[in-house]
Amino acid sequence: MDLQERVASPEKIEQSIEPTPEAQREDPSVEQAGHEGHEAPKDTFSGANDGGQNDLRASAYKGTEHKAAKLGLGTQVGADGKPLGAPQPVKEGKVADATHVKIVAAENSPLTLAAGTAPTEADLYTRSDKGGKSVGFRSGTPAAPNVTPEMEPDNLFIGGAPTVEDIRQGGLGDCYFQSCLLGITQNDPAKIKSVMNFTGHEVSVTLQRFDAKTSTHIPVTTKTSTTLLTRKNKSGGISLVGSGMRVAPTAKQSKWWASVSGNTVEVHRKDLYETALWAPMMEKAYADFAQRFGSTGHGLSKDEKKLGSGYKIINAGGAVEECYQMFYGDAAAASTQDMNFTPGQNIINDNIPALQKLLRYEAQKGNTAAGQTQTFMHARMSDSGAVSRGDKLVDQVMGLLFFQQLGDDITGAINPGSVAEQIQRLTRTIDRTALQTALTNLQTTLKGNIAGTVGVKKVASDAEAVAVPDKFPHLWDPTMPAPFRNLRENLGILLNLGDDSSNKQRMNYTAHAYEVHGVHLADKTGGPLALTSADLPAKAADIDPEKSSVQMHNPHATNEPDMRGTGPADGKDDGQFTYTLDQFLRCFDLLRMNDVTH
Amino acid sequence: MLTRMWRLALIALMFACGSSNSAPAPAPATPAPAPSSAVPSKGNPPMTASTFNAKSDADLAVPLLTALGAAEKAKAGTFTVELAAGSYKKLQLESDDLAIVVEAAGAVTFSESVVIRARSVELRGITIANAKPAASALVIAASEKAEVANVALLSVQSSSSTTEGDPLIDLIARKKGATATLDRLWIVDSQASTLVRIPANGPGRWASVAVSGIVLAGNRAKRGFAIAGMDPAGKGVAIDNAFVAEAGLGEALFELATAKPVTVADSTIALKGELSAGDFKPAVTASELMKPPAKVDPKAFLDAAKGGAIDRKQLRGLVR
Repeated sequence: MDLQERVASPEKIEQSIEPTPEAQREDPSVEQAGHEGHEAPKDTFSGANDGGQNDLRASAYKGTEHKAAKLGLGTQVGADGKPLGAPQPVKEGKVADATHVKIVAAENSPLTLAAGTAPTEADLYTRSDKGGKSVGFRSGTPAAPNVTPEMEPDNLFIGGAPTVEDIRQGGLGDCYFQSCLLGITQNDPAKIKSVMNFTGHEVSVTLQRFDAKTSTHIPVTTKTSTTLLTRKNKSGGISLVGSGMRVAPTAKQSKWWASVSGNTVEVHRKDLYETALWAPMMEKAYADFAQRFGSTGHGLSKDEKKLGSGYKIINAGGAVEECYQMFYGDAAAASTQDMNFTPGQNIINDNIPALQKLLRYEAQKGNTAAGQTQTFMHARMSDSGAVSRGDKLVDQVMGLLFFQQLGDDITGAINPGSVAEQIQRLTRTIDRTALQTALTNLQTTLKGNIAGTVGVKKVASDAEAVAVPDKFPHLWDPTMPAPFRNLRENLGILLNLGDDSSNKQRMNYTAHAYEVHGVHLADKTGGPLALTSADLPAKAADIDPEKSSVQMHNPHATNEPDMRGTGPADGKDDGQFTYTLDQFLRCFDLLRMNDVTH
Repeated sequence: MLTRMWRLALIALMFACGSSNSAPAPAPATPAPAPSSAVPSKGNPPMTASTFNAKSDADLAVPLLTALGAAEKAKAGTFTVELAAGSYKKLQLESDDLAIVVEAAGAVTFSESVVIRARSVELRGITIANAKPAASALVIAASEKAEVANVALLSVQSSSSTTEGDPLIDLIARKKGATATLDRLWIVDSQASTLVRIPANGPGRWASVAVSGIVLAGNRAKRGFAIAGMDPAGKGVAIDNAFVAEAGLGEALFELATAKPVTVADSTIALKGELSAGDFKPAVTASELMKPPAKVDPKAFLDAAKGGAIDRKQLRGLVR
């Protein structure tokens, strides 16, 4: 897709640049929404005025609706990082139990206990031969009550503070904003709390927009109820369109009571769960902000005006480093740094400025005190970067295949060896020939893409055909020279160009904003290197790119690198993963940073 | 035997590919940190200067960064990079304290990007051509002043998607009161979200930006200029001798988010699409608005760019 097509069709852009988290792939998302402005169900509060309290104007669009936040819209997360869904109610059956009961704890005066603590029956109701209410049945006991899970009201955070696990990008293409939230939540969580407030059943969020007249940033507060943008899913249920809402693994407290319904005495427990409501509320506030001031708070562009709904505007993509101004105003200075990989070249020497930035980030990421400069860091790979690197890697691997074959041919001519050895050589020849044929085809496609005549979908399908696990043994054999592995990992990027249409196989996505969590430079023994940005050029040779590592976080909260499609290496599919420095520099081509001076 | 053959094959491959896993030996460079007379910048104590002569791409990697670090340590004041005529991939120089001067001795072409962040920046006589930078092709960030002269971006395509929004040229004021002059700037047959961005990025704002001679022709972008980062106490942006022949701007030539005046004078504009978008408009005076071009043939402009000087009369003949 060339630029003109992209300009003409922003929704096509989205499909090409923002891989949807796998969990949402089957859902009809924003891609199906029409461009026409759709009047939002009113979710308004009076007193709209710039620079102060504003009513919510983020419009729902065709097929979506704002609905009150409730526990069923959220999800708990298992130890393996996978979403478990919301806690479900439990309804106990009736058991014959003829007696007379007197209610001790009624629904309007329940017994409140810490979660996990159960009352005695007598704490809830008492029995007698006569007097009280006569019942013939019982539903539930203190050990096995009727359970109603609910979200704790007027609460934004689990455990009183935001965590990176709360950030779960949904079906909107706002990875850049979610990644910014990851950066702030990891390194300056107090900032999140300082811009959000729960007052009376409403949430106020203060972001900063650019004021052209004063050439400075000014705060704008959005105040809104706790409704969230939802849509009907295929099974008829309601689900969140955008950011997910994490539910605490256990209830914070439980309310117990007994009641008599007809001739049945019932034991009830209402479990109150904390939720990370802040994450979807922040996205909602951002959509509102973007609808009024554009996706970076610098005014609405012509395309953004056409999109109308703030949700569509934030869905259209952006640059993560530009988001920090909405939180820190003029104190936030954005920059980018490209990263290089040329097969056969020294990857450290080719990336001295990038390594200096990574070192600076690691040294400054925790600087939240007044007067200090704090750095936030993200990384992305571009479509064209992945394709051009793939093209060069194919060249390198084709060269290796040629010389490997030459080696086998010479060996066979000089000393044919045993029949078994001859068969092994023949097998290798067949494998090499098959790989060479596949790579020749792939490279034609890659070169076509570089020339602008072949689209990314074709690149993805051709790459996927080569990346099938073990189909071409050379790519998967750990004893082969590194370029085979490098090409395999590049294929893991190429096969998802445009969209994640693979069978769960991937490295990292292109045009997706990953957050850099941490950087660890190590020497050849794996020992930590205490380098500074200033002395790095002179000591670059000390860095071992395979022993050094970079911790990353995918705002999807899933979709980690997984070249075999069998699950992430750490067994926890939470979006957090580690690349070697070598992988990082090969698989990403741009650092996006922001330096905030507090 | 097989193992030996393998080794032989790999050695042969290394020779065949002309590369190895070790660092390429840098071509002889002449880092010359010896103090020399330099013009002291206003208000600062007398300074020394150091000069780095680059002859090859390898010089612009570790040797240059090492020399830059040494100049910073020596408080050199001004660090000059003299580029011998030839082709280079990229140049990146960053210093909070130094004034950085990059000069080309002859025709110098980069195939990726040029990024200079410094106290003040002077960049003269370079071309970035047939490049696909990861984001922006030219980034100039200065605390005091930026002077860019005789610079051409020809057939340069940002790898960023339009929604990521990275501009082709980013001109960033690092402090309030900084000034910028752009003289003879060619942007032809290139692609990015925005061609020239002057952002409100961090606390810095430009007191003035003067563009004297600029050609925009046959580019594919949403907008030509996106201007925000101007100091309310400053002069604004003054553009003269601009030649615009654009048939492919998605939004507008100007997107202004500044209340300071943006003036266009003595210019020729052949534009398909809108002149400006946003709440603020440029003031166009003494200029010629030509019929919008149906299509711009970039080749003729690429040839014209080789001359450096901007002859609007001659360029007008290239627009059909």
